[in-house]
Amino acid sequence: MNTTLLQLAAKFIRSIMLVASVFILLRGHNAPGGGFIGGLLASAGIVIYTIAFYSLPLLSKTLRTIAPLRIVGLILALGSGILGLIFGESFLHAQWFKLNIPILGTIDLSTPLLFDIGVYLAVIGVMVMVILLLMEDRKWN
Amino acid sequence: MILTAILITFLSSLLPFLFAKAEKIQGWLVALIPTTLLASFISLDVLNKGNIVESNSWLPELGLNINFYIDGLSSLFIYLILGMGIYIFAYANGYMKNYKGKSRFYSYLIVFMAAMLGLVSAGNMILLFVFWELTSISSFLLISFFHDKEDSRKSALQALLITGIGGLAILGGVIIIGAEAGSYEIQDWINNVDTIISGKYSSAGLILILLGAFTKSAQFPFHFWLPNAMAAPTPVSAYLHSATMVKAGVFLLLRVGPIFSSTELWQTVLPISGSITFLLGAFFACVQTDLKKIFAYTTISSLGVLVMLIGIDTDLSIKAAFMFLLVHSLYKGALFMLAGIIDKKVGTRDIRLLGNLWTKMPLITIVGVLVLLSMAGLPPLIGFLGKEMIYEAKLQIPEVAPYMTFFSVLGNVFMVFISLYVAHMVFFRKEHKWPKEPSRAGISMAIGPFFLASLSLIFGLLPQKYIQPYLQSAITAIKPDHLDFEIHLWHGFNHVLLLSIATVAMGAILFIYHRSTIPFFTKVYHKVFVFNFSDQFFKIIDGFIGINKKIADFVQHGYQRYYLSTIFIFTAAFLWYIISQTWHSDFSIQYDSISWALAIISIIIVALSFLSLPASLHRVSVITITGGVGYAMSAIYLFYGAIDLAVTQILVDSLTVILMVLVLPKLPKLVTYTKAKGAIRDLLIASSFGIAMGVIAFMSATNPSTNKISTFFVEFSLSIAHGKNIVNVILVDFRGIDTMGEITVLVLASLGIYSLLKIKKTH
Repeated sequence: MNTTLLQLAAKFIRSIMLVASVFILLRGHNAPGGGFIGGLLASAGIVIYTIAFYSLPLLSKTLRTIAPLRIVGLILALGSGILGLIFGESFLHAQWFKLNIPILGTIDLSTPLLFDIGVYLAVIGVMVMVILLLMEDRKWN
Repeated sequence: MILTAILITFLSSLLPFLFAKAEKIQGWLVALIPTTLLASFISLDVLNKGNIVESNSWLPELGLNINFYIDGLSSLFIYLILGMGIYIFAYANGYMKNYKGKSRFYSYLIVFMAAMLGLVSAGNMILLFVFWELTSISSFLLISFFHDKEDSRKSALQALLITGIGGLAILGGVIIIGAEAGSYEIQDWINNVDTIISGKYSSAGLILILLGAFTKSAQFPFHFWLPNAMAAPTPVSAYLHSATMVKAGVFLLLRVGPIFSSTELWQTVLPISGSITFLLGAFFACVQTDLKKIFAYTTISSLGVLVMLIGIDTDLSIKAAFMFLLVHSLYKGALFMLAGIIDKKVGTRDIRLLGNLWTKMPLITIVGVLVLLSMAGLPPLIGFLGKEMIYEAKLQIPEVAPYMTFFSVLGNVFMVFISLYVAHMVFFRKEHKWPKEPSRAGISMAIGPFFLASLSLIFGLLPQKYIQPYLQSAITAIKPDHLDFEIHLWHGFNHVLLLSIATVAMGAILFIYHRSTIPFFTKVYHKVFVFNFSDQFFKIIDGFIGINKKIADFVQHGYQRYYLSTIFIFTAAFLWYIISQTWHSDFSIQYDSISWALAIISIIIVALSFLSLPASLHRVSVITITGGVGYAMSAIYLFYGAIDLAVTQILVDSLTVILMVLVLPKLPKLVTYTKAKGAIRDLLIASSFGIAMGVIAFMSATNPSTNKISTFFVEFSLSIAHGKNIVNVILVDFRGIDTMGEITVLVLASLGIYSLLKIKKTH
């Protein structure tokens, strides 16, 4: 499916979906969204791009970049749990911090956010890895 | 503080990777870790400032706490672990010079060291168990370090299985005793000795704990893993399998000694098992030709001595046990290091090929002779003191003194014989078949044995000054009433000394005629001990695997459709059971409250599902229809305002379609029913499952449970978790552990898929 039209569209679609996925991830705590949905969205973007520009080198390169994300995600999620322990409460007990930035105002940071980012990365890593592995295996285009 | 120290030690197992660039001095750099720890432990000064007690709560609801308790006993072991550790790392610097994966090796060793430190300072028995298993695992990794050799892998697995089973036995025993005592704290146990001993199941608990200690400390009949563990690099054999880890069992016995030592079980099992191990170990050592195997069997023998002494449980025997513990670690650590040096520099460890090393390595020979003399128990080495104290302890047991003394002398005669024989064969005899011309050992490898041999000598000459206070403090931990502790090199001329002289004389006679004694022993060994424990062990394991294979072949037949049928049958049976338990006929639904939109969506779902029946002969149409059902479902979520669920459903459905398209060509042809029987069977399964689900949904809709957790979520989502999106708050906060488990499963599944798709290609 290496058509110019699809390739042109895929570039935009990927960028838009990645930005949107981060947006959805970050707003998740108060509005519809979150790590899982964001992760699925981002994976869809990456997969569409890979389908449009299908080539074996691209596949393996994307695999190499994306696959480690699931480990990073798992470690982040685990780390957010351990932060709870470090602050003297139970594992995964949420911790909240207020960050004051002069012009932008206050930003609330929390371990659940870190956890959600972990979920986001793990989902991207697993979904993209599985689909790309299958594409590679099927020599599918 | 102790917890922090141990955690930091675990973390420092990453340091070797940082030092990887400084390849030539990596071992020396790593040796700084135990040095720092030792320095900080000395500054704690347990000897004068008293025991250290530290509590951290872990799971207080279950009585599990990360409590540490460091007394004289723990201190002695900590000194051993860290002191030996320094020399082992320095030694490994030279020994591991030409091997790959050095950083990994050092890293495992540090993990082991941290686990061992935790084990000896744990105050809670469950915590002790955790560290116990960690030492087993690090031992497994170290034995299998040369994992390209089948021998290493097998030995590592054997060691792991045996010590691991022992560890589980300990857990069982600890739980039983803990139930009797109402606590897992070792101090609570000691304070409730009477309750524990009179407890109904406490002897079962004790047997389990003994099983753990015996497997770890290689007591007969679990001894066979230790000689096989010699497949590990020599620093590991010197550190884990002679000086520290195998003594963990002895440590455990000493730890629980104050509680159980008065029981009959303790006083019979320990001396008998110890004596057998002692004698057999010493005898087996005589017929080996590999230096490391010889030392492994003498280690088993020495562990037998320790267990026996602890079982006798008099003041004198505990005293002798501590003395011998120290003696043995000093000489056996040094002997293993020497065996490694000889292996590296001459190219073999076979004593039949070695010989006349005196001319090439004079310094190594002096060190070797010193430590061998200590093993033989000759003055003025510290080994002499150890042996004297053992004899003294044996002679003072009531009733069985003659037997015990006889066994003890017999075993020690073997020890004297082996020491002389090894010294002769390796260092002094003229004939030899060196595979290569011996080269000089570097400072890094020589410093450990040199220092340990000097310690054996200095401690032997001046026991009061250096070791007495430490051993005294260790003994007080076991026998609080015991006060006087005096050790002298010269005891005066008494019957203990006479026994020693007789032992040495008999050992020497055996040695003088070694040309006929060794073949005789070998003949006896092959005639009597036809039963090879290690082989039998693997036969049992193979049989076990065979049985499991049969079960697995039956259950895991590889047909997706039968897997699904099985799952559906069991779930349906379970659901119908629930329905029969909670059945009520009070179905009051207000039909007028159902909106039209919802009804239309539902009708679409049902219609689509029916459509899939005739379409089921074509996969693509089935996938399309289920995709449609998924989208319709998300419409229901939207209807109830669960936007998150709706979006997730749509995304999952879309990605599933992509995935399905990818695997479609891989799937086998669709099977059509050839007989009506099969169709009826599947119809029954499907309908019973579907109807059960329907009834359950109906029942829960008409009779909502009063105890609703959802009200909790609604109420506290914003106030506690600061989130307006309840779904997200549930996922990342309230039920975070569930999500954690889910993404872990996801990652594991991706590993499975990876291996399925990738490994196949290489075949």
